[in-house]
Amino acid sequence: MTDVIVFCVLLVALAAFVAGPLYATRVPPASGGREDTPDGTRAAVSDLEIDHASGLIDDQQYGEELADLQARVTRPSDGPTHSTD
Amino acid sequence: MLGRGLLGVAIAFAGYALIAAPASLRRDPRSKRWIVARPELLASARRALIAVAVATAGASVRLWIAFFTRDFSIDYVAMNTSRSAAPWYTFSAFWAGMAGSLLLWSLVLSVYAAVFVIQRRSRDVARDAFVPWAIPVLAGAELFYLSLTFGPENPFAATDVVPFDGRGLNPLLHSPGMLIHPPMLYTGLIGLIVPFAIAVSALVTKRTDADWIRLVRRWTLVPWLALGCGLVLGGAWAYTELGWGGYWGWDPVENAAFMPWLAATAFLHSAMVQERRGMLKVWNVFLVVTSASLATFGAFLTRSGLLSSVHTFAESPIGKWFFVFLAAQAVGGIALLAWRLPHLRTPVAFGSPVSKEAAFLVNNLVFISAAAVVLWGTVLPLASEAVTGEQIAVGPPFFNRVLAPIGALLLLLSAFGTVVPWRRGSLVRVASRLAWPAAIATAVAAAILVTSQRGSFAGLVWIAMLLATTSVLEIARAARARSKLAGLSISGATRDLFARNPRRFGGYVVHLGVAIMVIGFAGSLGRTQTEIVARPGDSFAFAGYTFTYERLERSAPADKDVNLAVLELSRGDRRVATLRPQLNFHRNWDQPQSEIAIRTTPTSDLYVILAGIDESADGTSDDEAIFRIHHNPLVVWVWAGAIVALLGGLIALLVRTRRDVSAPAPAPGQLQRA
Repeated sequence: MTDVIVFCVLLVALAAFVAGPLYATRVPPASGGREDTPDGTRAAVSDLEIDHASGLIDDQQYGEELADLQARVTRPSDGPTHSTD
Repeated sequence: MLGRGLLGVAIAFAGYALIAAPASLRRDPRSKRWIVARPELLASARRALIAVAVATAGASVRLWIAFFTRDFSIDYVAMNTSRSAAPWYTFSAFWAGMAGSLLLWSLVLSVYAAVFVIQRRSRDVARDAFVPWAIPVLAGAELFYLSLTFGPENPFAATDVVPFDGRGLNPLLHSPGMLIHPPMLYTGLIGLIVPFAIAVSALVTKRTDADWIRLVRRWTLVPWLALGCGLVLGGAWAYTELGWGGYWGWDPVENAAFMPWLAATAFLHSAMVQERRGMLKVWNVFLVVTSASLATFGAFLTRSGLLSSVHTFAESPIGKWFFVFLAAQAVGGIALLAWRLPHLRTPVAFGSPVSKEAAFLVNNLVFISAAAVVLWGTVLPLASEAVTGEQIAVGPPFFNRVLAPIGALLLLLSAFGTVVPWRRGSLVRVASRLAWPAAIATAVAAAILVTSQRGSFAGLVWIAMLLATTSVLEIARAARARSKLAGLSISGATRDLFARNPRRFGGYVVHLGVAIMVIGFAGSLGRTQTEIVARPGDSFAFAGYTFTYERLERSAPADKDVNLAVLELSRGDRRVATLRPQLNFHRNWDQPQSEIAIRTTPTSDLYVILAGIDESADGTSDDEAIFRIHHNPLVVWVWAGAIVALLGGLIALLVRTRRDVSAPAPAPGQLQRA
C-alpha cells in the first residue's frame, strides 16, 4: 500500500513539474546569452604573457598572437544557431 | 511494484522528451533555419529529463531499500546478498549483477542528462543551439538503457520461492574498491554520451565553433577523469583481489574501458588546437563520436557474453540490442559528420612543424594508433573464431610489445609539446628548454643503470624523468615569469598561474602524475616470484626477507570457512611485519577465494598468496601450506602517480579561470624592459 501511495504522489508531482511550462502564462525571460569574454580567450592571453615573459616566444610573435586574440574577442559571434540545410 | 513502476514512469518521460524537444522547433522558410517556435514545449522537454533522473533515482532507492531490508522475494536481491552481509557490501551488491548494473548505468546517464539541462537552463532559450538537439539524443539513450532494465534485465523480478537467506555477494566483489570502482567506471563510460549529444547538436546546427568546443571539452573532462579513476581503481581491485600478482592483464574488458579513455584523451588535446587556432574541427567531432561509440562498444562486449573475462556478466539476450544501439550511434554519428563535412573544413594551415598544434596532431595520431592496437588485440579472438572457427589468443606479450614503443613516443611528445609554443617555435629555444630536464633524466637513468644493470628499466625511467622534470620546470619557469610580471612572491605567482590557466598547468600536473605512474610500470620489469611449501615453524628466504610460517588459524563464520596463515617477516635480525594471507571457501558460491597479504614500501611490495592447504584423505591436516610470493618493485608509484594525475585533472576541471585576465595585455617589448 505504501508503494502505491509513494508511486502516485511521485507520478503526479513529476507530471505537474513537466507540464508546468506548458501552462505558464509567461515564458522565463532570456538571460544574457553569450559570455562577454570567453574563458578560453582569457586563458590564451595569460598563456601568451607567460610564454613571452619566460622567453619561449619573441616580441614579434607575441604582438602577432595578441592582436589575433584581441580580434577574436571583438569578432561577432558565428550568428544565431539553428540553421540547417 | 514501486521500483518497476518508477522505471516505467522514467521511460514515459524519456519518450516525451525525445518527441517534445524537436517538436518545439520550426523551420523558418525565409532564413532556412530552425527556430524555437514553442519555447514552453522545449522547457517542458528539459524538465522531462530532470523527471527521468528523479524517477530513476526513486527506482534505485527502492532497490537499495530491498537490499537493506533483505527482501528476498526479489530474485536479484536473493542472488546478490545475504543476511550476514556487511552494510557496505549490501550497498555495493546493487551493481553486482547485470540487472542492477544496468540500473546504475541508467541512473548515471539520467543524472548527466539532468545536470546538462539544468546547467544550460539560464541560457537564452532561443539562442542555445545545443539543448534542443541534445535532448532527443540523451532521451534516446535513456530510453534504450531504461527499456533494458524494465524488460529483459528487470532487477525487481520476483523469485518463485522466497528463500530464508540469500546467496550472498560474489566473493570476488568483497573488496572496498568495488564500492567505488564500478560507479566511477560507469560515470566515465556513460558520461561520454553527453559530448556525443552536443556533437550531434553542433553538426545539425552547424555550430562547431568556439562555444561548441568549450562546452564539449568541459563535458568530456568529467567522464575522462572518472574513467581514468575507474581504470586505476579496477587495477587496484585486480591487484588486491585476483591474486595473480599484477594490476593490468590486458583483459578484454579492461581494454574496452581503456579504448574510449585513449580517444577522449586525444580529444582533450586536439580540442585545445581548435580553441586556440580554429583547426581540426572534423577531427574533433570524429574523436567525440569515436569515444562515445567505443564506450558503448565496451558495454556491448561486457554484457553480450561474447568475451570471457572476470569482469563480464553471464551471457544475456541483450547483446543484440546493444549491437543495434552501437551501430545506430557509430554509423549515425559518422554519417552526420560526413553530411556536414563541407561546413567543417577550415582554411587555417599549420604554420610550422615546431609548434604546439603540430605536436598535438602527432600526439593525437599516436593516441588513436594505440586505441586501434588495443581494439585489434581485443576483437582478434572474436574475428578469428568467426572466420576460421578457431580463437586466436592475444595476450599481454602482444600488447606490451606493440604498445610499449607507442607509449614511449607519447611520453616524448608530451615533453616536447610542453615546451613548444603555439604557431611557430624555434628549435634552439625548445632544445634549450629541454636541456635541463634531459640532463637530470640522464643522470638518474645512468645511476639506475649502474645499480640495477637493466637497460630497459633505465630507459623507461629516463623517458618518465624527462616528462616529470619538464612539467615541474615549466611550472617553475612560468611562476618566475608571473612573479616578475605581477610583483608577486613565487608561491603567490604559482597560485595565480593555476587560477589564470588551470587547464594548462593542471595538465602539467597530470603529465607529472603519468610520469610517476610510468616509473611504477617500469618497476614491473623487475618482478620476481616463488612458490614455497611450508609447515608451521618453517622459515624460508625470498627477496632479502626471511619468512617464518607461524601457524594456521581456522574459523567458520556464517557463509565461509576461513584459513588464515600467520607469517612473520624479518630482515636480518629485525622483525618487520606480520602477514596474514587467507584461503577461504565460500559455501554459498561453492568456490575458494584467496585474500592476499601485501606489505607495501616505497620501493617494492611483498605480495603473499596462500595458494593451498594440504589435507590428507581422512580429513586430517598438519597445516602444510603452499605460498606463492611475488616481489613487485615500485607498485606504490603507480597509485601515487594516479593520485597526482587525478589532482591535476581536478585542477583543470574545477578551478575557474580568473576573470581579471582580460585586462589589457602589455605591449610587445614592455615585458622585457620590466
